[in-house]
Amino acid sequence: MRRSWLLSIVCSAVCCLLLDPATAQESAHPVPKAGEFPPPNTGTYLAGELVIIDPVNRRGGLRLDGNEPHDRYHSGPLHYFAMLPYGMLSFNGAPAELRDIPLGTHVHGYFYLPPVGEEATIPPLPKDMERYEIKQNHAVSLEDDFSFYQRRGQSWKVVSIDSKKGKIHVAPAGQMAQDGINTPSTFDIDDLTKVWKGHTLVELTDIAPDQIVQFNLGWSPGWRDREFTVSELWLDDESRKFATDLQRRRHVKYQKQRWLPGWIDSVEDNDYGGGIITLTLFGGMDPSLYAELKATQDKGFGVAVAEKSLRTWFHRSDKKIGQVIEWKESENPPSGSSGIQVRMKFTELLDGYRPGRVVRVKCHDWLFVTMPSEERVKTMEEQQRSTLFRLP
Amino acid sequence: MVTDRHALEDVRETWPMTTGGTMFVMRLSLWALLFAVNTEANAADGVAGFDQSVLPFIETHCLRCHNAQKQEGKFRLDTLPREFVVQATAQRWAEVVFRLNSGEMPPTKEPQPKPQELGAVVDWLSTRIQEGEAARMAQRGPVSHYRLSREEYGHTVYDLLGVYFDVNLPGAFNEDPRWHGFDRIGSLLTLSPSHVDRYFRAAETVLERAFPDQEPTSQKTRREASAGQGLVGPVRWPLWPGHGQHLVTASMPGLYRIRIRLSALPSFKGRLPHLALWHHQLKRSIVGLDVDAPEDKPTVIEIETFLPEGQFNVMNESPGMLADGQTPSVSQSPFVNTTDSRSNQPTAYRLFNDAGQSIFPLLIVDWVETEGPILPASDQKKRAGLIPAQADDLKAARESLNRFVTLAWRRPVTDADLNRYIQLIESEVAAGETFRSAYRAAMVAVLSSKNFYYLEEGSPSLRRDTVNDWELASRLSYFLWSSMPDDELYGLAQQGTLHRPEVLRAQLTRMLADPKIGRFTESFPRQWLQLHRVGAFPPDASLFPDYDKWLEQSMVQETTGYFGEVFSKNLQLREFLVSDWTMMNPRLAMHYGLPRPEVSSLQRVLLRPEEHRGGLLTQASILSLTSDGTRHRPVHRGVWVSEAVFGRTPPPPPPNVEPLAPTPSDQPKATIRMQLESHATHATCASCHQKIDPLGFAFDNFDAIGRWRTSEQVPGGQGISPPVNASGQLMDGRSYNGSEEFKQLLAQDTDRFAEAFVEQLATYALRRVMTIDDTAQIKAITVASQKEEYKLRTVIENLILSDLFFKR
Repeated sequence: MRRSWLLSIVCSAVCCLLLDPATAQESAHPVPKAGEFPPPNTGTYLAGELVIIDPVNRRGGLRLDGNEPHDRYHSGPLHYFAMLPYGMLSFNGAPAELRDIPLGTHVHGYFYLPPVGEEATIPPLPKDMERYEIKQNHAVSLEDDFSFYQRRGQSWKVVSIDSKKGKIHVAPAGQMAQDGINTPSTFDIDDLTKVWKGHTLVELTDIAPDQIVQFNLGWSPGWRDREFTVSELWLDDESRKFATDLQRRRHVKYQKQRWLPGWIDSVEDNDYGGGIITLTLFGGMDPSLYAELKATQDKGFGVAVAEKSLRTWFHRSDKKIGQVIEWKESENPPSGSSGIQVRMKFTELLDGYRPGRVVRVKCHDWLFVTMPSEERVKTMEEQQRSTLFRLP
Repeated sequence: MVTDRHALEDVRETWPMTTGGTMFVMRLSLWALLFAVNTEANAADGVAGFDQSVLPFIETHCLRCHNAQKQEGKFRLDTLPREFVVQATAQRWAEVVFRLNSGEMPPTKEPQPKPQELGAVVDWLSTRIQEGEAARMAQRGPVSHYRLSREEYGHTVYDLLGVYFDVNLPGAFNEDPRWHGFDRIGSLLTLSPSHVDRYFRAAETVLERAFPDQEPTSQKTRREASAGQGLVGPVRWPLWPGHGQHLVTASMPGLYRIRIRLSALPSFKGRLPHLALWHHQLKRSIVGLDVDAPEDKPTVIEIETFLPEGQFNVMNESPGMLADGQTPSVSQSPFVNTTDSRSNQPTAYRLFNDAGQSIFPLLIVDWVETEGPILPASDQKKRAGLIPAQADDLKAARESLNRFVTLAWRRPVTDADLNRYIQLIESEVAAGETFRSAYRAAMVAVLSSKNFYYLEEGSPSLRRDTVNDWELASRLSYFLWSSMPDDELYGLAQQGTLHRPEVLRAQLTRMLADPKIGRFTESFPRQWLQLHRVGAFPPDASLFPDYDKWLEQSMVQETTGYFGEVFSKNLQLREFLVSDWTMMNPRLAMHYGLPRPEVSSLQRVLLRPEEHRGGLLTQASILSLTSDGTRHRPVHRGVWVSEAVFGRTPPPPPPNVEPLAPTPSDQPKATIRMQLESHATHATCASCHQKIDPLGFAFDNFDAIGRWRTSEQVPGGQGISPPVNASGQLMDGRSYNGSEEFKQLLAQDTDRFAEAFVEQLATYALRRVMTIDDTAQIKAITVASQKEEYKLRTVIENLILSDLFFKR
C-alpha cells in the first residue's frame, strides 16, 4: 500500500512535467463540470475511516489509511469531503445514504477536484496544515469494505483465526480488486466483532479456515501501519444477502420519501407557460426504483428542485408535475449516471429547472411525505449557508 | 326616489300573455286570413313537388301500413296534409323524417329503399319543413312587435339619456335567444315576468344615474410604485402573466380616464404583453390591449372607458400559468429592473430563460392615475329638457315628459298617454314624495312600458302593408345604429317626408358617416357569421396550450374589423370570399405564424398566397367556431359555409348517429375525413354528407383553432400523422384542391353569394326570418346591386330603398 501511494504521486508529477500546466491539471485531475459526468476511472482513490458526517448535506471527514505524508496519523487533519450530487454510496452491498454508514466504518472512495465555483465548499485547511491537503475532496463514490470488494468480485478466504491473539489471517479470493487490499492480510478481531451466519449473530468460534467471507473494517491501534480491526463479518451467502436486503429496504424507503435525484440536461421554454425539460437520473439507486418509475411513466412525474447536496426545499409543494414524452436508456453510462434520460412536458416551470441543476423526481404512486425542518432548505440565506461545510 | 311598483301597474298597458309567456296582439280573423294566404302559397308550390318527389316513395314503402284500413302506430299517412306552415302538420312530417332517417322505417322485414331514394325524400321533406318554419315564424298580425335585444337596450338608453348601462352585468338582462346567430328576431324575443321585472329595475338604475339626487363629482387619484415602501429609487411593479395589482377603483358606474405609465417587454419569442383592467367582483376584464414599450423608455397608456362600479386590477392578461397560489412568482425584495431583480429562489416560477431573457411578456408599472366619473357635455346635453327646471310646475313637467316619452317611445304620444303619467306624478306627490322623485317615478314608468322596449309596427285598427315614417325611422336607426332615431330622423318622421327616396338616401349617407355606424359593422357580422360561437367550446388546454382569451377576442376582432374595412372602403362582397389582405394584430400574427405588425392595434395587412389566408372563410374565428375544442369538424364547417355563403341550412342529422370513434391503438392513424368518409357510406347519412362535406373538407388544412397544417395530429393509432387531404368536388361537379381553390370557386358565383348576403342583411334589418314571400324582393335588391359590382354600401342602400325595407 505504501508503494502504491508513492507511485500515484510520482505518476502525477511526471504527467505534470510532460503536459502544459492547464492541460495536465485537466487530464490528470479532471474538474467535474455541471451537467457532465466525469470520464470513467479518473477519480483519485482514497480510503479511510468515516469519522464525522453531515448527513443532511452529504459531507464528512475521513481519517485516511496509514500515516503518509508527514506523520499524518499523529499530526494531520481529517480529509474533509463532499459527495458530488451524483456521488453514490454503498453499505453492506446495497445503495445507501451517508447516514446509513456507521461512524468508524472503513470506506473506499474516488475523489475529484471541486467543481468550478464550489472550491469553498470544503474550506481550506489552516496554514499549518496545508501540507496535508489533498485537493480531491468531492467524492463520486463511497463504499464500505463489504460493498467495495463484493462489487469487484473479490472476497476473502479465511486462512486461520487465532482468537487468543485476536488475529485473523485472510487471503483474497475471486477477482482481485485493483484498489484497496488485494494481498493476504492479517486483521485484528475480537469479541466485539459481529459475526453473521444466516440471519443470526454467531460466535468467533464459528469462523473456520477456508470459509469465504466478507467483512467491514474499523480502527485499530496500529492504524498508522495500516492495521485494521474486523468490525463485522459475514460467513455465508445467506448472511450477506440478508444484510444487503436490509440496507436495500432502508434505501428504497428513503428514496421514495425524498425522490430520485437527477439533473436537468436542457429546457425548452414556451412563452405561454410551461415547456419541455430533459433530465438524467443519477445512478446508484436500487434498480426497483427506476423500474417503478418506468412502469408508471404514463401517470407523469413530480419534479422538485434540489440543491447539490440533494436537499430539497419543500418538495411536496415545490414541485411541478409533468407528462413523460420520452424515456431513453443508454448502456454503460458513466459513473454517477443511471443512463436513464427522461423528456417531460410541463405546463409550469420552476426557476430551478436549469441545465446542470439538480432535481428530485417522484413516481406518481409514491406517497407525499413532509421532510423534517433540518432537511429542508427554507430560505435563500439558508441555501447559501448550506453550500459550506462547517469543519469541527 | 321611492317608486311603487303597484302604482306603476296602473299606468302599464294591458299586455296579455300566453301560458308560455309569449305575447300576442293579433286578431284571430286577420291572423287566419294571413295564414290562409301563406298556406295556399306554400301548398301550391309544395304539392306538385310532393307528388313527384315523395308520393311514389310513400306509396311503395309506407302506405301499406299507414292507410285508411291500417294505421300502424296510430299513424295515418295518406291523409296527412302537405301544408308545412301549419305547426301540427309540420310536426307530423318531422316525425316521418325522423323515422326514415333513423332507419326505423320502413321496418327491416319490408323492402328497403335505395339510399338515393331515401335521401331524396328526406331532403325534400326537410326542406319543406324548414321553409314552413320560416313562414310560421314570419306570420304577422296587424301589429308586429319586436323587442329590443339587450344590446339595443343598452345603446338606446345611452343615446336617450347619456347613461352607460352594462346589459351584460350579472342580473341585468337574460341573454337573448338566437336564430342562426341573429339575436333580434322578433318572434323569438318573448317576454316573461322576469323580463318585466328586469326592465323595471334597469329603468330605475338608468334614471337614478341620469338624474341623481346629488350630482357626482369627478375625482382624480394617483398610485405610485415607489410610494409607501420607504425606498428611494426607481422601484416598479412587475406584472407577470396572470398577475395584477389593485390600482383602480370606480366609485360608481361611469366614464373613467385611466393613465398608466409602464414598460411592456415582449416575451423572448416576441409575444406582446396584454394590459387589462380586471374587475374584482365580475371576475373578468373590462378592457384590454397589447402594449410594447422598452424597459428604459416607459410609455403612458391612456384608456377612456365606461366602468361598472367596483375595484380593478391593472393586470397582465398574457397567457401563462403563474398563479397556482403557492409557487412564488416574484422576489420578496422590491423590483428595480429585470437585470438586478432577476434572481429568484429556485422553487419560484421560471421567469427568465437561460440567456437571461424574459420568458413571458412582462408589464412593469410605475404609476396609475384614475379620473372619473367623467360626464361629457355631449351626454349631459341629451338630458336637457327631459326634466322640468322648476319643481311643482306641472305644465313644465308635461312638456318635459312629452319630449321624453316621444323620444323613448319613438313616436308621438297622445294626451291620454301623458295624462296617465301626470296622474302618477300627482299621486306620488300626494303620497309625500318630492316633485323630482315623483317625476322620476313617471320616467321609470315610461321606460318600463312595452312602448319603450318593443318596436311596434302596424296599427290594430288599420291593416297596413308598409311601415309609416315613424316606424321607418326606428327601423332605419335600429338597423344601422342599433338604437333609437336621433332628432333629425324624428323631425323627418314628424314631417312625414322620411320615406321619400331622396330624403332617405340623404339620411342614409348621414347615418353611414355617423360614428354610431360602428355598432352595425360590429354587430351585423357577429350575428351573420355566428361569431358568438367562437370559444363556445373552449379549446382543450393540453392540445392547444397557446390558446388564450385575448387570442379568442383577436379572432373575433379580425372578422368584425374585416367587415368594417369592407364597409368603410365600400368594397365588393366578393372580398368576403377572397382577398389578399386581412385585419391583424400582433397576437393574431403570432397565431398565424406571420411577422408581427409594427403597431399593436388591429390594422390592415397584405397577405401573400403562401400565407393561406384572405377572405372570411380562412379566418381563425370561422375555423374555430366550426370546431369543438379538440378537433376540427368538417361537417360543421360545411354547414356553416352552406348557411353563411349559400343561405341554406342543411337538415339536422338523424338521432342516434354513432359518433366517430377514436382510432384504435392497433390501427393506422386516420384523419377525421377518412373516418367521415367511412361513416358517410351509411344510407341514411350519405345523401346529406355528399352535399355538406365537400364544403368543409376544403378547410382540412386548418386545425381546430385555425392554424395551418399539412398533416393531421391524430391521437392514438399507429404510424405517422397522416397528411391532410383538402381536395373535393362540389355538387355541381367542379373540383378543388385546398381552401384557396375552393374560395375561388365560390367567388366565381358571386351572384349566389350576394343573394344569400342580402337575405342575411334583410333578416338583421327587418328583425324577422325571410320567407318565400320575400324571395322576389331579395332577388331584385341583388340584381340592383350587381350593377355596382355588389359594393357593400350599395347593397345596404339598395336594401333600404327597396320595397322589402318598407314592407311591414
